[in-house]
Amino acid sequence: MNWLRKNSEVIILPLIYVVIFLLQKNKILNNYVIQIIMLAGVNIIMTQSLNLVNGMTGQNSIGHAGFMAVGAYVSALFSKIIFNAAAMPPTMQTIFFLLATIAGGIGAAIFGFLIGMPTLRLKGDYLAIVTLGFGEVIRSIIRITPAVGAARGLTGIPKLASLFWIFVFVVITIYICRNYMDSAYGRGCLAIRDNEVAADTMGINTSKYKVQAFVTSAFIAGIAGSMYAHTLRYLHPDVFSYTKSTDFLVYLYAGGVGSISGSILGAFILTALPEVLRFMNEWRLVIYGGLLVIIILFRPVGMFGGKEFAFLKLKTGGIQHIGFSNLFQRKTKKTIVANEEASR
Amino acid sequence: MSILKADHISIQFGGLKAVNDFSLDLEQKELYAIIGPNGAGKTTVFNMLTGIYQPTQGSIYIDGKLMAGCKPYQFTEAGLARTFQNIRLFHGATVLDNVKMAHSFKTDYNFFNMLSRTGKYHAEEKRITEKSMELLEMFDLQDKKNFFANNLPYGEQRKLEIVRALATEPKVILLDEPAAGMNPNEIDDVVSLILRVQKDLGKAILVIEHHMKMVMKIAEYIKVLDFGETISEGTPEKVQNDPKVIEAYLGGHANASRN
Ligand SMILES: Nc1ncnc2c1ncn2[C@@H]1O[C@H](COP(=O)(O)OP(=O)(O)OP(=O)(O)O)[C@@H](O)[C@H]1O
Ligand SMILES: [Mg+2]
Repeated sequence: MNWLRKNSEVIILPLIYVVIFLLQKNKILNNYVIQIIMLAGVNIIMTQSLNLVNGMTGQNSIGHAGFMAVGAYVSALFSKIIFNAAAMPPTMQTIFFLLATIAGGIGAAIFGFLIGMPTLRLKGDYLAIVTLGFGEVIRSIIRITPAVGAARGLTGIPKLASLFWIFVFVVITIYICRNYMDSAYGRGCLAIRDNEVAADTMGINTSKYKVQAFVTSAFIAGIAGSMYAHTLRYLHPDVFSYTKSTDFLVYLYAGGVGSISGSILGAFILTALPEVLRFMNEWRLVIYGGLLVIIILFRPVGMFGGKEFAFLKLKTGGIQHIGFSNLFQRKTKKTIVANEEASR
Repeated sequence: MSILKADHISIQFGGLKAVNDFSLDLEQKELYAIIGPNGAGKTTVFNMLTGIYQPTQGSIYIDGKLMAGCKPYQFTEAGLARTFQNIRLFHGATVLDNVKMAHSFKTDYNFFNMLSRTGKYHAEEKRITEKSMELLEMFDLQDKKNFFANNLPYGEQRKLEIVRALATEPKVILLDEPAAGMNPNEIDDVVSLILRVQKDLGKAILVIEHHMKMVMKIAEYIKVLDFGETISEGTPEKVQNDPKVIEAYLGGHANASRN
């Protein structure tokens, strides 16, 4: 009993799934709503992935949709063109779906390594420029590659993703990120975020830690790409444009950069909100934008910045120096200045 | 055998020779000090000794190992740790985590142990936490373990930097103005802390400090820098009475000698 109270997530997480599943079965939630929930799941995975780089390691990846594109196309190639999973019996389909997803993750991770290796050695914001370029280059390459449908897009991808599998991957991602953050690997990254010079002199091989986090992040983005491809069954290169990358950045920073729970809720709320507001027609975008402005002004660390769900058992707080708050004068600046004056 | 050796190191920034021909030979349990007026090049020496800057000439040995071309983290792996003149704590992390972060490179579990939280992960985490707590207790910071580093009072931030440096289990520790901005009472605390690190923990120490009384009390050997040149060196008595040193301090830096 005591164990259960401490580890309530083993009940709560499956319960969330069962509730959504029952609502779907009883036609209270129609297919359209279920699809939105599935896409929200994909966005949650993407935002978690981005949080490992922008939140935990303090680097700036601003073209993350590029990794999602790699994952989506690689997995779709795997399940549609190489293996034609549509013609398989259901159990084989599941196995090939999982294999395709891992292939997508590995494909994205390879690109993550190739990009991270040279750029993360440098100090400064080179990663931002390179990831931005990467996202656009990948899109242009897909556009001119006939094997993946070029500019027409890739159709007829088997519908292998389901509410269940997306839910499973969301949960796996959350735990991977939690375990990462609360370990020597994650602490190394947090140290780099807080003070790279000090991290280096504390024996942390900064480029190695940064590349590890970035490759893991790319792998997770690839997984999200596979979920996306096998949910919508149609891929078009323009979907993975800079706008898409920006969406994930908005989910992350509005939700609370550095916070796993913030990334989850930010992605979920901001995916659902435009749909909920659909009855307002063109006004919904005004409301959406207005909400972001309000968050930036009144809660610069993000809606859930510095907070975590209890079940993740993570430390919280200590985030004054990241998030939108970076754009404004920091609260801590006064103390820093005072210290510097005192040290003279 | 010498633990930290600098062999005629120099560094140049553009046309400015910030440090010229600096040598040092520090052995186990020895406590050396570097003094000199503002801008003399003391911190620059530290930055070379810790791998942040590469000397344009000369070489550095830690525990007999030539460190040419090494990155700062490799200097730390070789047994060197430091604190900073302008405090560089991991301000978004708790006091305990600051110390645990310095253990990162000595953690013995791999990436997959970490992702799947195997027994090895839990055992190692426990070991690191216990060791970090031990250090915090040794320096009376255990009650503040859950404070965020930037919420500590200034003096304790300086102390935490020393504790964090010790967590890397160094053979030699470099302190850049550990008593800067402190009142006389706090300075006494810092002195006893430094002596404990030297005598009880057996570390070699190299310290930069402007408080002359303190330096004269703790240092066994002093090197005096001015405009990047070593203008005098020797025991505190010798340096104190060296006319060159007096002149360097009085020549436009009268304030420093009064401290
Ligand atoms: N990265 C750099 N680029 C150019 N010049 C530098 C650099 N680092 C240090 N200097 C210069 O080298 C000289 C020595 O600076 P340093 O910080 O070592 O002095 P210091 O002895 O530590 O002084 P203080 O007592 O004020 O701390 C100064 O003139 C400084 O401007
Ligand atoms: Mg200095």
